Amino acid sequence: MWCSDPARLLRRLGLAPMLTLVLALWQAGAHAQGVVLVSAHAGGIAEVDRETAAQLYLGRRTTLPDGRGVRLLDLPAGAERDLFYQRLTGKNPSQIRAYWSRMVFTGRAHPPHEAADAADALGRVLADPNALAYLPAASAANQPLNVLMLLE
Amino acid sequence: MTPRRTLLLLAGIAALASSPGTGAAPDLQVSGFATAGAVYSRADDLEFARVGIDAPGGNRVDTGPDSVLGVQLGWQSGDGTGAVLQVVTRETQRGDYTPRPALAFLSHALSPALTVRAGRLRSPFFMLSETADINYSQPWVRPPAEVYALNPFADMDGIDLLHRSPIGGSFIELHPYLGSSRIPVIGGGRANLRRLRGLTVTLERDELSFSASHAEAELAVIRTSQSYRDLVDTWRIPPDLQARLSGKGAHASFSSLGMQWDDGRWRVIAELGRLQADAFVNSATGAYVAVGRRFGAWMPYFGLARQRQDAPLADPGLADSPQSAAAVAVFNRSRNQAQRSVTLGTRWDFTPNSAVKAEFSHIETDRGAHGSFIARGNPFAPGLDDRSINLLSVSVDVVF
Repeated sequence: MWCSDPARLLRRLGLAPMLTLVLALWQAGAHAQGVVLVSAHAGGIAEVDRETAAQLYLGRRTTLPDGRGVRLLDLPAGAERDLFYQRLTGKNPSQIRAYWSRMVFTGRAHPPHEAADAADALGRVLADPNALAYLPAASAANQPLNVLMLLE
Repeated sequence: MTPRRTLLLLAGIAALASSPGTGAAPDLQVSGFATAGAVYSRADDLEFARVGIDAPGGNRVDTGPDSVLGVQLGWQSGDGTGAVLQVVTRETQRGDYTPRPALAFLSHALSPALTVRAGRLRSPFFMLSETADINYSQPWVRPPAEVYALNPFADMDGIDLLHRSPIGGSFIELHPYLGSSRIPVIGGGRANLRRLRGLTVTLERDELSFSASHAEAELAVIRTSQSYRDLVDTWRIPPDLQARLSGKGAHASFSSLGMQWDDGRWRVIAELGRLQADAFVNSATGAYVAVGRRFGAWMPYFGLARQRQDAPLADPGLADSPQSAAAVAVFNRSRNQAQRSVTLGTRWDFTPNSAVKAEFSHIETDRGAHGSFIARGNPFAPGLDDRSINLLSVSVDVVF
């Protein structure tokens, strides 16, 4: 036995599960946060189903079923963008980058507009009723937005 | 497309982009792709080439076959009208780097599922033809020559329709097109496809996608190089045989069946492609299968490929002397790309938008075939066919 002090041993044994629990809760918190697909509340897109959203973000359509044209916004490369595409389209970051390079450079689709950051995406979606954007759930709270979908 | 027409289209796109539209703000996007690649082989008498696409190199390390730079301007209006101009520079058949528009079209969405495009388009004869320059989007350094060297016509001028719709859990794209295409011939001359018409059908379902395509055209190959004239004059090739080597009005068709699997971990790509032509080029069938496995940012891959000749370019039996028959046989051999290859390589995505690749290919050319190689010196020299050649290729691909 590497530890002769029973009290210390107990503390050590107790510390590990405690740390694990704290880490797990913290990760679950980050995970539960997720990303939300949003539009402007004022005159913006009121609803979009998951299949349509996936087709829009795969460049397979540019309009909603009612014919309304959509302007898509992307976040810069990062965890939120990866999570959004993975959950919505089932494609991992390297698949989606290869996919979009094929779509753009064969002239099949125009890529979503890349916002500088979440604040920029928020500003642009609020200014354009035809815009769709995804944001970290926390930055969409208490904003005049339609939350169309939660992806976590 | 002439440079003047390209400039006009560019000016048109700029004018549309800067016009105060009634709806949303102008929507102009700039993007691009590039590959810096190098190919090395130890063969003294043969050099690797993307036959019909780039000029033979001359150096042991050749940067010509794979290096490419493309810049794209895309414009989109709110009402479904759009335009794309993509200018690509890579080594041409003439050995220079004259930029060429690979895409220069106006498009309009007739319905949410149906788009019509007119102008310069990429020719979609085989499954991956439209992305042949977009090396970042594929696992390998270059698409397998056994299929992709069957079509040197990278682009076409014409009109196409893209009908894309979900059916059940699948996504189907119907892609009919009409047009013509024109490229220079290595050494001198030109080749073109007229009355080109074709259809490509692609079906995607989850991890799996299938593609089938067929195109037909009138093929012309006008050879004007000094070496061709020397061949014809020196060996007194009779006129009716000359008419099989160089001329207009041959019927040609391109067909392909392909599949891809990509579950995020494994990537499998397999295809069967065929070129049939009455004259001026040989008829051949190619096939390949490639398998890649992602390990984080790394993807090692393995590929097998084969091309066999179905019919030679010209029948030496039509010659009127043993000398001219021998000359035609040599000509046929130099235009026969039949070979088999094994490729082992790896891709490493070192940043989100760039990848470095290295691959080793062992190629065995058929008897009576130069395969993907062009003679450095005298094409009449013996021993240029039935060879075993190793090829090392490295490339860095970026998209921006």
